[in-house]
Amino acid sequence: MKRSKLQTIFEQTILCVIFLFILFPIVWVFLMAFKSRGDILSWPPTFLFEPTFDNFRNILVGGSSGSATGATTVDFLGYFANSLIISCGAILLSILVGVPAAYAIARFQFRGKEDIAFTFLSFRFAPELLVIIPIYIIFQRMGLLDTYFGLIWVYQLITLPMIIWILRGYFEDVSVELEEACRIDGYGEFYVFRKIVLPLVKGGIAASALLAFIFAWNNFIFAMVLGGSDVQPITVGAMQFMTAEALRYGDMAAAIVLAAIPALLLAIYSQKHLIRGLSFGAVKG
Amino acid sequence: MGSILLDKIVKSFPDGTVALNKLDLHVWDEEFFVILGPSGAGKTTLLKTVAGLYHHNGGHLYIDGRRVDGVPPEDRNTAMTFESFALYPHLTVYDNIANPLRSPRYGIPRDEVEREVQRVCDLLEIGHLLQRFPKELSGGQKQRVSLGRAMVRKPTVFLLDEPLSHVDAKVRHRMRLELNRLQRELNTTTLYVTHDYLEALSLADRVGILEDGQLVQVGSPTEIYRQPVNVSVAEQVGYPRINLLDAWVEHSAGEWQVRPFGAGGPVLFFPVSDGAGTLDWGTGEHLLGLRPQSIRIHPRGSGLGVVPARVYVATPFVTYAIVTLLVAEETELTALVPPDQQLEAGEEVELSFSGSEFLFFDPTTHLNRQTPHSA
Amino acid sequence: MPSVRLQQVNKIYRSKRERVHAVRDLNLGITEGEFMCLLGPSGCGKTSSLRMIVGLESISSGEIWIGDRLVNDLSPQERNVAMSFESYALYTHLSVGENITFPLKAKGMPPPERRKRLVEVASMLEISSLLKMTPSSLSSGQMQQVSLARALIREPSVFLLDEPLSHLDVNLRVYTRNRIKRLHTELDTTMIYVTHDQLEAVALADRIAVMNFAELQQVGTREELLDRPANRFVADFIGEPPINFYEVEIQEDLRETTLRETSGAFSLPLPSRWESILDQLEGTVFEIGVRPHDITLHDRGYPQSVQGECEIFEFLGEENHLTLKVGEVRMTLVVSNREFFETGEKVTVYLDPNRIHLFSKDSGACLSSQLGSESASW
Repeated sequence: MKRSKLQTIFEQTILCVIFLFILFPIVWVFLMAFKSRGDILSWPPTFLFEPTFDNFRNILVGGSSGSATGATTVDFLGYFANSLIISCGAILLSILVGVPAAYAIARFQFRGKEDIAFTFLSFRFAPELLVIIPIYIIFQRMGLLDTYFGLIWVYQLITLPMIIWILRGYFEDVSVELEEACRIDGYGEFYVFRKIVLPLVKGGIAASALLAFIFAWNNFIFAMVLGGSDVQPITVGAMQFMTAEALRYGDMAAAIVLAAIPALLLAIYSQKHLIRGLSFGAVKG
Repeated sequence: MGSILLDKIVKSFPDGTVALNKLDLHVWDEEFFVILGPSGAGKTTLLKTVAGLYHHNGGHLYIDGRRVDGVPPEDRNTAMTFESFALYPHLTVYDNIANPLRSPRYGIPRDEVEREVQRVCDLLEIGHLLQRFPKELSGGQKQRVSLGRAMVRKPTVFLLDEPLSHVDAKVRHRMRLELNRLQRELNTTTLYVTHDYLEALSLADRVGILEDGQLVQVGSPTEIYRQPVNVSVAEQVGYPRINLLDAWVEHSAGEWQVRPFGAGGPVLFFPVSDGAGTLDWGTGEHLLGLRPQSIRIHPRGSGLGVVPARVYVATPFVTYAIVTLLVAEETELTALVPPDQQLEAGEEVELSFSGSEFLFFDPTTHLNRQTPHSA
Repeated sequence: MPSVRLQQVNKIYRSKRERVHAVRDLNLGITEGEFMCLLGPSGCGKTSSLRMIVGLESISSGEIWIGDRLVNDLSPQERNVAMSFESYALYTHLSVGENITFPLKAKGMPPPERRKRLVEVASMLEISSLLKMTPSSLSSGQMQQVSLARALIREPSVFLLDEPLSHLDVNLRVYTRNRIKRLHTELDTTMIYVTHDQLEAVALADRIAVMNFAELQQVGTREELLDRPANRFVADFIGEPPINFYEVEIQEDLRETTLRETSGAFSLPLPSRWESILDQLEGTVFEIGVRPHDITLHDRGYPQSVQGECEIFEFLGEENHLTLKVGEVRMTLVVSNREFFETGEKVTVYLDPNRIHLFSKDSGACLSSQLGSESASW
């Protein structure tokens, strides 16, 4: 079947338009991070400007040069570290709990299996605002407000369902016969899990952890309500660029660019794992 | 080395299906025993029960005289190949084969592992594949690797699950010869399941026919082929499928009269004795089993045949031809003839039969009426 | 009904890293109403060829003619060909009946006529009772029938089938094979059938085109392929059990010329009809091929006799296979199911000199077949 040239050009044009549409906000924020305040506010918007690192300097070093507003210092690096601690902690805990849980759901037959699996999933679509008040009260009583552990714990609502549901599929893709073969080779159950199953779902663990990390990193509402001044992550911290005097657009854009870097790096890194994970998914092949 | 004894083994699944129903089986030491049955007969369940991957719900299982009910698979010292090969995709061929030796249960030193893997690779001629991953292997090569993994650790018994079903016909033929050869060299007790009767006949010391969770017949390959206990065994063993005809048999004037083509159709006469022994067919209604290759086709008018027939379809294959014949315009017969016998559709021919190869079954119970004589 | 003609057809797949020549200089003519099989191992280019004929794959170079039309640039619909896929490719959201009539609907045929055709095709394939069901509730054999029906309903001028039997179990395979054979007799449509199974090809085809490594090896009837294989590949691919090959050297002494197996396992007198070719081919390394069915048990001391010892004996019901150890080499032959042998038993066999094939070891070409066709043309 020959496809005409016109058709090809048409298809590619449409793809380009969609691509531009999706990419535009990202590009715009990226440009904004390098603009001076004057450039940001200029109308019509300018694409050609002299790039400046002032915004980055502002948020990293806390200087206020070039900013007419006399900035309140925002402890950006502190927020960044908080975000890292909370997100990584949440992911580690989720993997620790989620991998065995997903394996059990994928492999074993037990009563209420599907109900349990569904309960996990339902955490994902319950609106956060609905549970935030009771959780707030519980946390208050337990003294978990404004602690890392408290946030890590409540973040399980976001990360655990994802890890369990993605990994369940990966575990189901591993042929039971591989495990059986290894049992016959003379290995006990736990050994088989470590030697055969885990290496085969490595890609799946990486992929699910990445996705869960991004969601945890971007969470706003839990962190705002349950985290106090000590453990504010970057999403909440960025709000401080909206001061009473002014909206510090440039600083905000710079903060966003920096905040996107960990997720971006992870995505690039685990792309390889994703592909490997997928190609090993065809276990029989 | 060891025997396998299944004593009234019952295996049922949580959904209520009974896969093995009080199955008795004794595989002797150093025997090559083939379980033959259609898919869904419970063949794989049987193997996995012996291996300990499934727990039987009743009866007792002995391997090498030791009762192993409830013993986990890693402590039974069996080796098994899977229909899907079940090679570990993330390990190289070398690591796949070495896996059974590296189990902490055995504590085999590194250099000995290497030696044993080498020995198996020489035997199976896969030495050049050691650094490859399973996905880089052809079906036949995967087959060899999975066999290698099974035999690297001199197990008590081999359990082989349809090892040749996923390799193409050409390779299958060569592997069949090779398995024959290996069996002679290793002399390990082997339980082999397949749906292919050719493999069963070719490889087995004894064949067991598995149907609905029970063994309906156990015997040597020739017994299974020549003296099937019932219609379904006769249908399963042999290609093309055996012809089954409703026949009326009478004894008169020192002859058997067999009417397989309806009351008005041609009658076959056989002497009561055929030289090799007395034929004892019994008067009455029979289901006559006629192997396609016991039918000879002669040109009409040659006087060599006794039943007139017409060729319906003649399909020449490589080394034989399969001919569908019509007798008395209604009974279809399949015959297997040499490929050089030129037959055209519509051609009028006449047929002869070798009476000593007739099989008679009870029309209601489908059981073999008697032991047919064989030369 | 038109014939199909492929002239110097090439198919090259290009990806970023590699360039795969899937079909190389294929020339093939299929006459009207013929049943042609494309036979070869996986990856030999047979499916690519088929897909180019249907129009699912572009042609890299060369010409494909259907009837008197050059179809290189025509879409599949315009070529009036139908294809049944290996994977059946049924639409799961439609009922069986809707699946079958789908091609007609796509053509814009009015409903009453569609129904009429559906009834015809369904009764021909005996699937009338399935029409209301959904594909997911069908067995694989039934899906195969539905897929055939969908292809047939268009009354195509050429009907292409891609491994239609590969997913069926043995009995169903025999049944469906007969069904296809009968369809061909009834419809008299040109059929092109792709398979890797030599038995299917031999059973169905008027002529077989054997392919390997993207190239056509030989086209011919069953007898031609068996008796006069073009090369070693064809001789090895067709025939079960596989043909026995031995490397031989030619030894001349005063009285006679003999073929001596290189390791010295056996020697045979040179068949006289070969003398003419051997003169021209000095220095060539030869191989002979003998089919297991062309070796017979024979006690008498013919010069063509070979002595061996039974290594593997297989009782197979209809016939028995015997693998002998002859010196260093092995020889498989087929014996009747009344003959039994013990391992280690001494066996004498006879090789029919008229049924031995001679190959050039380097090129793989079958020299004895060339001789056969030459003498036929004289």
